[in-house]
Amino acid sequence: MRKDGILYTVIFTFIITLLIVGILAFVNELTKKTVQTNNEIVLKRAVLNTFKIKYSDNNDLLLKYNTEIKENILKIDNEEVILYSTEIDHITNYALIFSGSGLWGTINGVLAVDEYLSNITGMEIISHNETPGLGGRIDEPFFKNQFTDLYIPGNSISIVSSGNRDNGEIDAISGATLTSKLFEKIINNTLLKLKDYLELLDE
Amino acid sequence: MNNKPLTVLKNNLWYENPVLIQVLGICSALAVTNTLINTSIMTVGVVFVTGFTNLTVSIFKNLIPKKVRMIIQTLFIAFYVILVDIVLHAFLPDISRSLGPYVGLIITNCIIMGRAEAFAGSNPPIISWWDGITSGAGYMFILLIIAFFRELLGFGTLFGIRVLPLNFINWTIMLTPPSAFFILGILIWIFKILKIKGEKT
Repeated sequence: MRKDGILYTVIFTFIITLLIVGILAFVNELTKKTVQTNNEIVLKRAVLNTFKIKYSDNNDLLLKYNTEIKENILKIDNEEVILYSTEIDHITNYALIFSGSGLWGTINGVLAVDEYLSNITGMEIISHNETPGLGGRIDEPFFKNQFTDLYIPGNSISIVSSGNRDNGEIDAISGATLTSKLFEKIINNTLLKLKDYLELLDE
Repeated sequence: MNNKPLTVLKNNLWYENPVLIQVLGICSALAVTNTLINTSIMTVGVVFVTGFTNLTVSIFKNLIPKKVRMIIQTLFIAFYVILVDIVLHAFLPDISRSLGPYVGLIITNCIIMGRAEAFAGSNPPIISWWDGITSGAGYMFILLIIAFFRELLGFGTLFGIRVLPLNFINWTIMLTPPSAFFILGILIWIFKILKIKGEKT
């Protein structure tokens, strides 16, 4: 078989590709469980954070999650939606995972409210693709903490340049106008969804 | 070209530095250097991929058909990069999340393809591996210098530890790629001056 013939080229490429894909698939299988556990921990950590529940390490995280968080499964349009709930000071708080369009990609996170929808309990970001140092700052404590115990008259928030907290307004990120605007939309949409789901839960 | 290990090391770290002299791997030099921890993990990945791609290409160099040489090289590069990505996802998930798409983009780093073509295709396996590792190291130390300035002036921290006083106003430009561009230009300038001085003595 000639080395620069077509037959050799095809066979060689085929075998090498088979080998490479095979090895990668094998390694992927090996780490699948670990990746899944990691993703679960990220999610549970986010839910606990929005409910202001503290934990010391990953084992404590799982313990607190299992003892304090209830997963309410709702059926919406043939899909299952999980509404997380917990009791804080005798008031039930609910949290929902949100997933919306940011500037560069999807922003995933968790938003928690009290059962009267009068206050946001907390907000946590799971993943995003915004500009590092600008839109990416939605993942920084200074931004996320604004959502802790935020009073929301009119069931919506505004992200503006100088927010008045008593009015459900929070500070935008300077230099990240677009991400701030898009994020405001995502949160307000999530609040509407929470309103619907809470009503469903009551029925 | 003299292919003794010490010569290869000196060339790849200094005389023919991939970033400053050969001007390769610029895209990632601009993108990931915003913090030192991101840069460290990213460049370790590049060292690993360049070394082992060179090794693999050198081992197979007599078997690879000439017509599909670059395609096969890209296959090898992609193999090692995906391996790095899978390992990061599983064992360093937080770092994997902050590096985001940049790990996958190692495949497009010209240094790796450049070394595979220029060195591994015509040299024995072990020295090719060494050439890959040292090229990656040359890339790494330049990127660490850029990241040092970008993190210090952009965040006031080094490896996440606060170094500058809290009332230091962050240089926001350091958070964006253009700052890496300017720092790189300045580094090339300083480098060339040092090189010329070295040749004069």
